Amino acid sequence: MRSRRNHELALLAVAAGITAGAYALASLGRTASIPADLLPFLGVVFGLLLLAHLVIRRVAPQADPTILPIVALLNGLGYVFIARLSNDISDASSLPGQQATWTAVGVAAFTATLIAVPRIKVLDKYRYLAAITGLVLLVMPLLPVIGREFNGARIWVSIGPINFQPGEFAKLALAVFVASYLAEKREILQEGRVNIGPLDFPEPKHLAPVLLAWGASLVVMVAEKDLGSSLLIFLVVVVMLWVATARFSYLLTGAGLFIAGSWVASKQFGHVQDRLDIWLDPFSDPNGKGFQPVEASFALANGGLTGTGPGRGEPYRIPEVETDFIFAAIGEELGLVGSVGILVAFVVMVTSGLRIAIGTRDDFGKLLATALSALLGIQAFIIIGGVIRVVPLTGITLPFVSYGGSSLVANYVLVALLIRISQDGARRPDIGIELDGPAQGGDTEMAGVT
Amino acid sequence: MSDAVLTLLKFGLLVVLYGFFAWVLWSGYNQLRAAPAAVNEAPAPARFGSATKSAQGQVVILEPPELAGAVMTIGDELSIGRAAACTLTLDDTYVSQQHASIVWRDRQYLATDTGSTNGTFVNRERITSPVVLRTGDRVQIGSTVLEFS
Repeated sequence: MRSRRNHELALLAVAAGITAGAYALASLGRTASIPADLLPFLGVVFGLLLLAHLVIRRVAPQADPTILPIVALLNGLGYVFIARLSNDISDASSLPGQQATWTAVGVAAFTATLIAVPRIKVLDKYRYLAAITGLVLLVMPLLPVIGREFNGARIWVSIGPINFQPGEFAKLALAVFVASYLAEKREILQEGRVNIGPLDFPEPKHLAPVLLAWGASLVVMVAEKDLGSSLLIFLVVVVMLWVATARFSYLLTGAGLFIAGSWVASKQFGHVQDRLDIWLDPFSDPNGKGFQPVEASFALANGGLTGTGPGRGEPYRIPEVETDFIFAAIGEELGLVGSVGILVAFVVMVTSGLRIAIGTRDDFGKLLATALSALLGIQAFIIIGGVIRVVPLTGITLPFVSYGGSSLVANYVLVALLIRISQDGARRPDIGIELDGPAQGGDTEMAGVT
Repeated sequence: MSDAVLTLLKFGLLVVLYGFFAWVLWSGYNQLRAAPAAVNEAPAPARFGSATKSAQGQVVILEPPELAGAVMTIGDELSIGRAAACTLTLDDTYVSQQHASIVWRDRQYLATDTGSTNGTFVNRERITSPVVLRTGDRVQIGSTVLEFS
């Protein structure tokens, strides 16, 4: 459908315009001058987006037109804030250049994924390879020599000059595996009931996948001290089980395991207990453990309804503001209205993802689209909720917005898969039907499926 | 540059931001609307004559649009489901492995649900026991609609 692609191009132009406008405004706010590199900046942003757009036009012409523009907006606004913060943070001057490079790598990974995966069904064949890859990536940071620990979390791997967080890619591999596994087993998982009161629970042997996810997320939490990723993996698997089987009891079982796990963890592990204490009362230690959330709260309060204006606040006072706390910087300088805009962007992206899942006929594509949408939505919830203290803070990136190469590239691959699924859903499905021959006047050609 | 101008520019940015979301949502809404419209545009299915006297019934696929117009003779039994062993195999998430069947019994065709999860509908009503089919009746299984004749 040509009109879908034209829609996408127009929306991309608007997203690029908003990015350039915010970039100019941040510079005006700080130094009262239009940045000298505004036009080249706009050119590079739009050039990258145009590249991604042209690849979609070529290899996935009927795909959903709303995903890429939303990604462009989030990535663009994130970049503007990283660039703006780099001017005020002494050791951050190289961050904008790196983020720009990673964005280019991300767009390259996006196009490579779209080309390498001509149909989403292809991935269904590599179920166990995906599972093994996911688990290897998950435990990689724990290995000696290549594993690295920064800021208390052992989630990095260094091979030669390259540092990356394999966990970001592990999520995608595990999503492919779980989607493929559930697509085949979901009917079995729907059967078998153990009644407890008014609720019916799955038979214990069918709980193996939940327990496996629980175990994997415990490893991540205990050994790598990465609470955010641990929570994310567990929630996504529970959501997928629920969606695949339509059995509410999986959610209840998941919630029960989650509560048990977190209770034990908070008693056993100091880093979990610290997070809970800071969450409940950051002002008990405002210059120590509570410094980061306290500064974030001040930033949000300073922003008020419409913010101080880009470049005119003091978000650089928050430690780690360019990664985990970028939402607080946006909240300070664009206010409640601007930060709700970021939330809207994620809600719209998840909605588009679920719409893609509904429009897809095969179980694997449907479940994978659900899983990818859940990954984006839950990750955004965990970190935004942590910054505004709705839930305990767990360090994790805000997809596309935060500084961070691994996260950016992995999320570009994620949306490439979503776009691929939406293309498959729009195309004529493979229906295993033997026809007696077309009827008189009947037309078995694709009849205007848009 | 004065504060007032900067504030105005900031408001401008926020307005454009929300305008962008409105456009994206409108675009998504249009896609949702486009899907059922395609069904209406599907070519009119072939229709056949009077009531059956022997086991020579047929079903014509009305939906999904890609298969509209295809005809299957029923014979003594037509089993419908997702399993490859069914006479009519439908690749649809909402169709169970053994979903429904249409059988010739006592000189008439009966539609029976064979233990589906999402139900079998005859003329938009979910059936709980075998239903006698008459010419023109519509049987819905998942997103597939068949017309009996």
